[in-house]
Amino acid sequence: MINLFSAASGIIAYGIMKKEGRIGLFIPPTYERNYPPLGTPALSGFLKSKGMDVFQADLNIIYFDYLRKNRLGKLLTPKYKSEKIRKKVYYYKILQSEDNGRKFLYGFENNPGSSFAFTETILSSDILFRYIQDKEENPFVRFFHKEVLPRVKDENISIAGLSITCPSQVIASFTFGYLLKRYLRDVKIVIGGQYVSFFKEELKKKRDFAQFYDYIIFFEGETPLFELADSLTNNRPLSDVPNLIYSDNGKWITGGKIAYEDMDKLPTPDFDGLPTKKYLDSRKKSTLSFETSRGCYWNRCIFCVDLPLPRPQYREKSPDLVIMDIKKLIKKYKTKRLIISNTAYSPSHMRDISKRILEEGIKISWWAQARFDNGFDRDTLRLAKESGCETIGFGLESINQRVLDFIGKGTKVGIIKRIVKDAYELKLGIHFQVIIGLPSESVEEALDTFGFLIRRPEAAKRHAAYNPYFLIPKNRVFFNPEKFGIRIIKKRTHLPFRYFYSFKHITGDIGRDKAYKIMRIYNAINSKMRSKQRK
Amino acid sequence: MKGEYMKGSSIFKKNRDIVTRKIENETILVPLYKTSEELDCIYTLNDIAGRIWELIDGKKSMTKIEKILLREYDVTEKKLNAELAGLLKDLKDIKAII
Repeated sequence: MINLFSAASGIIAYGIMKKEGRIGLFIPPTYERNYPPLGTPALSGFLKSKGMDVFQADLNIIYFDYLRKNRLGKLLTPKYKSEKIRKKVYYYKILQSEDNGRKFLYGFENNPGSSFAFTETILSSDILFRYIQDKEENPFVRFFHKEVLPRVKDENISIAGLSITCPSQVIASFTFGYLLKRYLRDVKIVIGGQYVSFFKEELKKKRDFAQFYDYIIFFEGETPLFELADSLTNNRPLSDVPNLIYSDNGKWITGGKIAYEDMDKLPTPDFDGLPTKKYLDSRKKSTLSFETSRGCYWNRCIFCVDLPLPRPQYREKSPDLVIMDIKKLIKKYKTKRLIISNTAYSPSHMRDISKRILEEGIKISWWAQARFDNGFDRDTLRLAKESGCETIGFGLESINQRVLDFIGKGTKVGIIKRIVKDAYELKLGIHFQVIIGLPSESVEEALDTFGFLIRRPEAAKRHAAYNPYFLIPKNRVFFNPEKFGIRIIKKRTHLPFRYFYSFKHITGDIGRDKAYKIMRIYNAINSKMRSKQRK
Repeated sequence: MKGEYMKGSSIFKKNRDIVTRKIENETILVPLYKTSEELDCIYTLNDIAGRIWELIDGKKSMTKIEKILLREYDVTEKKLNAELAGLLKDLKDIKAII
């Protein structure tokens, strides 16, 4: 039973939960387990502040526990390694693709039904519905039946919200939605999250996907999910619900407006129901996620893999409210470590919040991502360090000025070197993100980055991460490839949910193969440096 | 001149699968052979070796390169010969020069 009068914010005037029922928020498999994704905790905090009854579960953690418990991790994958057995699988054909003119097979998924390639292919295939229902081949069917559906039944939910951040969660989410619709017929299913926001136009074209979900919420979900629940309970028209795609006479319709949240009106994230002690980073430290801003204050990098263009405007939460949130998280969850998941932590905001953490004497360690912005002066970095910052993950990408200018990073090599020097002197950890094979980049220019990092033992110690350049849809390069020296390779098969596009460099000379070769060299040398440091 | 790599008339050219970049005082050589799986190494050349690498252009003979180096560095011909032979052997071994 729900006690309406126990609502935290007192906003009962909306009449939410006139009927019995709860909102179930789910993190579907498969995804990272280093820290809890912030989507459902943010939604849960918001909905609870409006007096709603929310149930939250990380099905991803439950899934990996289930695989381990049943020793299925090893059983599920290897069978496809035999060509003979692979050919018996009815979706064998769709596992074949073409990449740069070479045929290759991507049947070896670490987690079956989860690879990006498998997902984007099967979503456009005739056998999608067969696979979604297949107890033998789709591992999620057995998992949901055995581990999830009986438990969900007891939670008495009326709306199930599935937060899909990554393509690796799509097949599991659709399977879960499909089964929920049969198992709990009255439950309305809503999908949301970064993946959904990314492919909302493509999802709208798929009428038959209504077998998996009832509603799509794109971009930020707090107010839309609240208003959707309110509209459903009180039979109000859905056309007024922001950021909503709903079905009308068999067609997906987008609601009238797009809403972004006022950060100062968002409550503290709520992690209740999530196994907070099970999220462990590489150092086995338990960590919670948190955000002090949304959107990117820079928003000009040509390769950005965040939301599609046009992106939401940048908003910050006021430092006093951030401090209040951090105090609540420490008190409620005994957390000692936070991942600040801002797209890019602005220097001024970091400075203000660090100061306030110190003034309040809060004991917390934290990690954040930022860009090499001149605003990170020595004083800001010192305040960050003193307020508990362990590491700042900087998107370095390249140390070559021409490349930095070309990709729109908006920083100077001199600024990067100064920030790195200051951070090392302050003993503040720095993690470098490097991209190899950026548009227009030459091998020689990539070597500049390598030369810069190899002279900094800390870079090796801190695991500078190298990634090959990937072309993803809906960013600046994708919309204007020739301007950025890229030619997109057209494929035989049109896959609307394709996440990585094949391309050739027109002006750059580091294709995928060369990028991997360079990365192998970098990684080998880094690991040699690390082992030297250990000695 | 001594050693099979150091015939005065020899002309070497750089392997196009070796990418080089001068970073600070060192020249980095990175092999990006199309066929090799063994790519877990790079080579660094110091200032003088870097200069020799620069002079190897598929046109200049070793005699000519030697003359240039004798002009530029304070070194005896005997020592230069020995150093040059050693470096050329190493560069040959890693297939940096042909």
